Amino acid sequence: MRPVRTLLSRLSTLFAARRLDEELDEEIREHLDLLVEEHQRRGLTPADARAAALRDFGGVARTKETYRDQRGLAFLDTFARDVRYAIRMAKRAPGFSAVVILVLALGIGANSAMFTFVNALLFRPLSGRASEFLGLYSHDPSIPNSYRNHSYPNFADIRARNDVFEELIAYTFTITGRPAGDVMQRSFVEVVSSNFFSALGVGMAAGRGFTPEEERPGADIPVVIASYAAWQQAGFDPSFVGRTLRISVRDFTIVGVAPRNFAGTTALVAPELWLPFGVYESVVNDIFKNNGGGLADRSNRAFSVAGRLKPGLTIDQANARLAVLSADLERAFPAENRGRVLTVHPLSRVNISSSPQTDTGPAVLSAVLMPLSGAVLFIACLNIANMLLARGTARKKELAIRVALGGGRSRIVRQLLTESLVLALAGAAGGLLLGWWTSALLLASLVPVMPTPVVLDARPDLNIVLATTAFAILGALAFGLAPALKITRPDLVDDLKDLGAGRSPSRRFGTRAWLVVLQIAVSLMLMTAGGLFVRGALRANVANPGYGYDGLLLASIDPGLGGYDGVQARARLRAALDRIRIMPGVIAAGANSQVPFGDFHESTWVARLGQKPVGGREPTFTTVTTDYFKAVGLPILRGRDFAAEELLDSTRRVAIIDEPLASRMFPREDPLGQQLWIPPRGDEAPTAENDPMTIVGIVPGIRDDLTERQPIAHLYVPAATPYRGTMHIHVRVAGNESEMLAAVRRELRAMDSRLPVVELRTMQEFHDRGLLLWVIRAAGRTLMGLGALALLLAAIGVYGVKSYVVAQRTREIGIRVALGASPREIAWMLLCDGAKMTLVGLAIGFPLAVALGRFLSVAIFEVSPYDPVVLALAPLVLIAAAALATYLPARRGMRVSPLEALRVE
Amino acid sequence: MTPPSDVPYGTLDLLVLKTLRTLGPLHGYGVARRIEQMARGILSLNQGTIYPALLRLEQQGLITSSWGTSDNNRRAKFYAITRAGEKHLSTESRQWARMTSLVNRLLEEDA
Repeated sequence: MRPVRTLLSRLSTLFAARRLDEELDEEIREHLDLLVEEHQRRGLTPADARAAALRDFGGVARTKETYRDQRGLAFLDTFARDVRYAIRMAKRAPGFSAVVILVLALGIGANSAMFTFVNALLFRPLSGRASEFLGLYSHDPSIPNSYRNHSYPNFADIRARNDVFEELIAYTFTITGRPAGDVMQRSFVEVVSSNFFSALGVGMAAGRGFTPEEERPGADIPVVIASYAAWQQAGFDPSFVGRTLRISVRDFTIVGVAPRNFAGTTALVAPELWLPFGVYESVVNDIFKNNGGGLADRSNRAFSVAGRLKPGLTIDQANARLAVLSADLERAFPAENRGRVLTVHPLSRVNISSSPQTDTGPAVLSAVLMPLSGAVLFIACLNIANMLLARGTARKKELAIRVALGGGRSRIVRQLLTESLVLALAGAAGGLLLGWWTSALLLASLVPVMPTPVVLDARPDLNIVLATTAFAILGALAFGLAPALKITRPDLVDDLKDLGAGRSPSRRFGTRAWLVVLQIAVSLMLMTAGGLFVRGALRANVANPGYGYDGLLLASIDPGLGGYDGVQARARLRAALDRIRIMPGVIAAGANSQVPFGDFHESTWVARLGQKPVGGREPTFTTVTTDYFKAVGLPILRGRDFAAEELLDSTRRVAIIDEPLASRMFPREDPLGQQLWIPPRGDEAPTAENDPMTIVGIVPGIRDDLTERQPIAHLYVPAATPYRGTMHIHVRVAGNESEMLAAVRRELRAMDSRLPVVELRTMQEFHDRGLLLWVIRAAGRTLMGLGALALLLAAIGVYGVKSYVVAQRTREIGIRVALGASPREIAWMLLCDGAKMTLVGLAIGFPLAVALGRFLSVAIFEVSPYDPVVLALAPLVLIAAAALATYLPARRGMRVSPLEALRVE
Repeated sequence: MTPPSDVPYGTLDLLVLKTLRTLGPLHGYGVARRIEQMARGILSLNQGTIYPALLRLEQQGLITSSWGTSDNNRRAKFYAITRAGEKHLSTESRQWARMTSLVNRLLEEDA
């Protein structure tokens, strides 16, 4: 109790030092005056009385000093003194300090960069009150995987019945066109309920949010809220609000600007624009529209809904009330709500889905990535521990003197730790900059490949600064404590006599060598992991879906963005294909509705007529034109391609399937001529889409995604049957690709200068810009970077130890040379010594590396964790680096002259 | 005559507490004078050392201090013993008595 009280009282006085000093001065002055009076009363002269008083008092300055020590926190004072001393020591050995700070900055930088991403994914606070929102989900408990989004009328009814939610918002995403030069750029837009911004509790950066009138179905008031980034691009022009903005083919008025980094209910997904529900029908692109319904259609379940519960309501209580609400909705609107139950669940930070999602994915990713970068920091710490040990040996005499003068061991350990801490904090500052820089670099390469814009802010926030500081303090303890304890246990007499360095080391394989062995082991692990990822990335670079990219061009058009309806759009596509096919140099041209290895895939269940679907996952569903297979280079194995008439007449129901689907559905029969159908979903009534189709052709399987190891099932139907907004024209050309690309561009513009072309590049370029490829490459780059860093650090470690050993053994080497050993023999002896260290490190590291590879193998693209190239190359590179790091000091050893060596004594 | 020795470590606190207990609230000068009078010829006391001791006791909550006016109308800081201080004084005095008697017994045996 008393120590606590003393501490509190001391702490409180820390902040009142000056006033307390003045009080003490006054008290002492008073005391002295009284003493002087006393002495004068006894008959001394004023001057003598003053002298006598000072004598009695005994050192005013010393009293004040002791008093202040007692008053202040002696601990803090000492700490400040230690820090000053540490800075002086660091300045005295600038080379050593620079290397330590650099090594640490690299280690901490790697961690800080990694943590920037983890922070953005898991920890960075959401916009406004978004973290208080729960997702509202609708499903039929009797049917598995029956989660669906909500219709606008249902949302409006639930919002009106507010016994559960304080606030309820609805939103959906869509793609609109933004004219930019001769292509129509796609821009990612969120269509929201009018209370979206106010309910999330974010203030507008400028202008206003949406009004209830703008939300009303059919209102069609063309207003838009722009992102902060757009306003920034406009130079924060005060007249920005009120400007018009062309979206697809129509002008909208900007009425507001969203706050900076606003990402709705998520941490990442950042639309460029927000539109009110009232313009839904005129804006929303058909891919995202369910059943073709409008906003007022209760069967159009197109909207995500999230809400903030009434204060004091738990999730369970809310779900109980929602059950009642669901039953009411079912009674009122049985057709759309039969069997459907509403529930609330926490929202995911990173994705938007109609079913409840958790954030375990990003959490697992973080849990894998952080230890990997942590390993680099670990190596850095081992390295620095080693350097400190070497330096400590050099400082042994200084320390021995301090011990001899009565400096306690704990006091010296504290001093040494403070020195480590000062270096660590300097390293942390460097690491923070380095981390900021690398993550900004990584982000810059990510933004162009994302299908949706994201806010990933690389600027360090408090979390990152705290984490970095924690890394540094952890590092300081890790690399400072052991050396501090070790070098403060000196043999006092020997050290004072300066004999310490002259004694031949009894154990050659000492602490420092073991530290290097550990470094080698850990760097082998990181290099192997890095190597596996790089091999994967190299493979992913040249991967293809099942046909070659050479001479293949891609031109994607989205007539809907130019205001064309379905009939006009199909006519434009036909015209474009007709013109391209007769261009010189074109071998074949055809279009489909989704590009393999692209960001968007559509799939559907398919079955033999009247039966339920069998096996595996949903086959990919692609609409294609004639000649598509010819253009990409997939042979029709049996049967035929679609005919031109089948593209014009949607009542001619035909289909082409690929081998994987054929073997799944017709394992023992000839699939040609067989009938199949797309069964209706759940309880929905059958439509024309569910009419039977006849199989007319079989094609080879292809992969849709980089991650798929095997071709998966595909169903192809003529592009007439269901219409898809974006069509991808594949053009197979002979001759120069870039010239042909320019020619295709000219041809499309000549045909219709208003036709929105959303993508125009070679297939290889399209592949190179894939998001998944980016992830694989980024993983390869990051891990290789960590591996290279580890290698560099381990080499520095080996070099340090070997230099030290050579320096220590100078006398021994001198004697050997004097006795007739040749320089080559000396070098060989030193190299063998070094090789021992390397080999022990490799022997420990190799099994660990294989284990790490197996652990990471799920994330590695198409490379076995036992990849012989990587498993052979990584140790060889390490051996080479270690040999070089050993050779340099060994060469110095070779040149030791016996005379000099013996004179050292 | 042997020269006066320094105040044994830790006993100054006890002397201060005892003084305040006996005489009531006093300023630093008063405490120092009193101890000096009592100890004349036995202990040499640098009066300055009284101040860190007073502060230490205050930090431990054994005494309190307040600014007031001395007999001759000058501002002075007065120290007074607290209840915790009195309790501390009585335990410490008993402890002290036990220690000295033990030391005495040992010394006498030896003689």
